Amino acid sequence: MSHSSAERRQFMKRIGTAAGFAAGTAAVGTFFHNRNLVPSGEVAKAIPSFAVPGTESMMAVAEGTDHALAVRAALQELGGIQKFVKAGDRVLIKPNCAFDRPAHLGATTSPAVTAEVVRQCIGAGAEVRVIDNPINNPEGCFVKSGLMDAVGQAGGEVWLPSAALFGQVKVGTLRIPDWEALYRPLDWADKLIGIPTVKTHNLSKATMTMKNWYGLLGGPRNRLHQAINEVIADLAQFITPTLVVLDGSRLMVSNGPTGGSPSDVRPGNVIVAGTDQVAIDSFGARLLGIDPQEIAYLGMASKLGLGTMSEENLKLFKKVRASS
Amino acid sequence: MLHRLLLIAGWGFPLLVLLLFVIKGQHYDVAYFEPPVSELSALPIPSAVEQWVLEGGSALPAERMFEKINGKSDYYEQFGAVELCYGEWVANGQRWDMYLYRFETPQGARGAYNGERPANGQALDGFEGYKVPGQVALAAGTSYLQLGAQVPGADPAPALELARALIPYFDGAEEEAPSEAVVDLMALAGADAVSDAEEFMPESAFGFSALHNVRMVTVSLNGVEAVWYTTLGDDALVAAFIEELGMYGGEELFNDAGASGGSMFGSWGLAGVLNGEVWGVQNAPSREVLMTHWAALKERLGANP
Repeated sequence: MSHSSAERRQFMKRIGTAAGFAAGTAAVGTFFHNRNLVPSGEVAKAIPSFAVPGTESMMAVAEGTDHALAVRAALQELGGIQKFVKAGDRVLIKPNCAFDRPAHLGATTSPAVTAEVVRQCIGAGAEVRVIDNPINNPEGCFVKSGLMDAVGQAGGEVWLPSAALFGQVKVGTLRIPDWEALYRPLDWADKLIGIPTVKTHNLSKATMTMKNWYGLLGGPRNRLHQAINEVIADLAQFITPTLVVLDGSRLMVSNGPTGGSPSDVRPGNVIVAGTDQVAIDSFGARLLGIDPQEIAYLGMASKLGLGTMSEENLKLFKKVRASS
Repeated sequence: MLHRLLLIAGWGFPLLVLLLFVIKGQHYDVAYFEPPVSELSALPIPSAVEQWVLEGGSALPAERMFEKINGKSDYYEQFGAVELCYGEWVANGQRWDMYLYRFETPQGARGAYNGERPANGQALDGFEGYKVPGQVALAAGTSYLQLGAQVPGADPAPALELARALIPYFDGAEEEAPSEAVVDLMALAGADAVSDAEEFMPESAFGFSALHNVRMVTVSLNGVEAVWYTTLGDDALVAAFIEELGMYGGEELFNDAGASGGSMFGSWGLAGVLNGEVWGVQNAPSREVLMTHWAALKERLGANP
């Protein structure tokens, strides 16, 4: 064997090793490249509709300074809570408990309104759990907002989020096809009721029913703000609730969604109950003095057929004055 | 030895490439993996002042403020926020929530403050701030402080004392003498104000790259609106403004009544130095309206150009 032949063999061997290593590198890199580090490993699951057949396209508005009474009046106009919740149902309630702010600052759902919805469901024979995945420490948010005590005293149970409750779910068609969310509570529930607040929002102009479902998501949610209108419309596709009770008892008219000053909050004394998220949020926008046409996600949701921006198009629309 | 080094480099380089390829390809989010910042020693303020004690004091850099205030963080970031410090001040059974936003510049702090200031806020003596029942807020140096009571309608007096005790710890606050207190644009506009609150543009105000950190208010005189604005600067800034106006097609450039201005696309604007700061009027529909607003601005300012 000649010297040059040995060198050639050695050269080929080294080239082969290098090529093998490069191929291995590429294979491993391709496997990991652009994978979301949020651990899931799960196939995204679809969340079923929680709507009760025959209750579509309904909205009732009740005005009054006794907010618990207004909740009852609005529900009565829709046919009563029994139309939506049956004995033995497991009801999951999603208020807005995003921030650790005291209730009077209006950044979170009113404890009185939430408690009344809990009482109504329990009165109908249901088991009630209340959940949110707040921006801040969950327990701190539920305590400082007054929701922890209110829910407990009304006979419900606050379900604090933990890692074990999350799973990958299908969300929408515009921006987030799937995402990590509180899957296990949603899987547990037979019925789902949203109790959003009415607040201005520095990115989306307003946050109400549809944006409230953001609190069911986990993972690095801050990324979602880059396309917030599409994401909110996706959230409206993600969740078809049994019922929504929009808490307009007070309105955050400026500096939302956090607020921070009592001056940001005005008395609203309005409770809106219904099943059409688009109609309810359009009504809420008007409470804030915002033309619903100016809120991009309402137009998107409407185009997706998720509801109507005009009350005239509802199958049932009622207004009532709640007084004892 | 050299052979061994080459061997290590030969294996190390591809491994490094692999690592970069994997890591850079992730939707890497620092906030998702890092524990929350919670070190009292990292805070720019003490954990106790007078009878007050800070509980749960924590700080988040600008890119992680969303962990505390979610989408609202974008609002503060546009003014150049660098950090949010928060916690609860406790004394004599009272609890006040603190949100202390720190900015790159005093103008940023003031801009964020002005953008959130409510119409019913009662101005504080001696510094830029207001109080309402249950809340005290102020801008001092590069800081914007909010103190909120945990009970509705609380007397703001104790929080005001707390705020006064904290101000010396704010960067740049000591450089602001009370006599140099910032002009309140809403007060200057008075009943003629169209805006609900002062507005702030951190850069390229009205499309002029020369105009940064501009505070502004829309004012209506005789039913015709224009924007009054101010920023820190001198004659050099006015010259830069007028040069930019000319460069981008400004017409009918003039020097009049201590100001330089002109029109562009039918909108008139000017700038001049009053009381040591740059003041101006923009978005006037005619030169006549522009000069009417400028005269009113100067008169209300008691200005001597």
